[in-house]
Amino acid sequence: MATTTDHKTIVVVDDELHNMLWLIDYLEAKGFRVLTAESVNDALELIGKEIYRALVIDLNLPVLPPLEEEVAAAGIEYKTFPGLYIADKARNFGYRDRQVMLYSVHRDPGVAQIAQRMGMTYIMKGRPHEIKAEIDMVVSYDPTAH
Amino acid sequence: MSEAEPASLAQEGRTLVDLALLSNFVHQVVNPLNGVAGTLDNLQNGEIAEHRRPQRLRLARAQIEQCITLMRNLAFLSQSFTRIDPAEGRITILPQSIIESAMFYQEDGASKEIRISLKDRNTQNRVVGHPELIKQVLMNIFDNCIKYGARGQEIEVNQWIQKNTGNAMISVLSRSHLPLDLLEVPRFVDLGFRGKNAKRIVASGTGLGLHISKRIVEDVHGGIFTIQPRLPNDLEFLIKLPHGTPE
Repeated sequence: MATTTDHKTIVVVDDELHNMLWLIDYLEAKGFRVLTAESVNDALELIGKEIYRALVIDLNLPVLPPLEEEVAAAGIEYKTFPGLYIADKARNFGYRDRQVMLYSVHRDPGVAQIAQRMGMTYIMKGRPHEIKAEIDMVVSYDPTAH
Repeated sequence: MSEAEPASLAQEGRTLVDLALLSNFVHQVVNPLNGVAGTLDNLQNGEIAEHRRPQRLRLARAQIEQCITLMRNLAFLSQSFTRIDPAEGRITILPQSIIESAMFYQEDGASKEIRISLKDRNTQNRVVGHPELIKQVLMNIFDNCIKYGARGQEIEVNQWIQKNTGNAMISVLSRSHLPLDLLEVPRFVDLGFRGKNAKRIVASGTGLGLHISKRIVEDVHGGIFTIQPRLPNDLEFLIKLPHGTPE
């Protein structure tokens, strides 16, 4: 289990950030700094630097060159929902299971299966209190904190 | 192979296209509604800094209006696009229609430091046409310009009456965020089409707005709707409507 290196920061990944300002407001009201990314490429660069307190990742995201083939090669779920690729990489970087939250409009059975296998939370957009409750739960305790 | 099989395959293909369109549509509607629900939840719980509240309320209104535009697009698609009779057509005042449509996108534009600027706000040129439908066309264009346009730009809008034809003209010039693929431009009006670069900016979209716009201009009003690339990396949306009247 990798140690969280930045306890005060949460990352929100979404290509339509104006629709996620409410979540940023919420996290800032809780005292967190929020970093954002709008593509798979930007998100990977960001999460490769630190283990942040939590990641909230949309599934439908743009993939820019040179990553397109790499993401597609990971499998049909990854090609269709590239946010899953970020989540997968995050787990490999050392993020703990529930530190990575998938947040999407659609509920896809293939994604749900992968999320469950990796222990990640998969929440549908539309009910703000659900993602808020999950975030509250995740930030309430950090097993790697000293 | 029996004759029934190709028809069935075609039907199946059509159903898949329809389902993909519907799935994209749901995505595009739920995202802003989720934003509105989140903002209201925050307001109720005092989770938005006071100085941000007015802006967040304006944003929530813009998000709802965006949903209404999308749903109207879907409604138009389910209707037949019947030509309006010029004798029964209502009058649309061009600058008013442009300004009212642009106002819906002020907040979206501000988030990318994009302004919509109408060159001639004063000349009250008119056209026989359906005001709400013409606004729908303009809103779809502005939506595209802001979504896929370069940050910090001024979208230039102009309106005039063509002297020799009497056509009412509206031109919208916008700079693209990513370089244009010229082969794709003619396909922007195809139902469900989304360009490679569009997907690199926003992963999901309906591919409905510009198709609907073309049909409203051409099938309903008997006009012409074109999208042309302009150097260096601009797109010009041109609406040509018959039965214009200069001020």
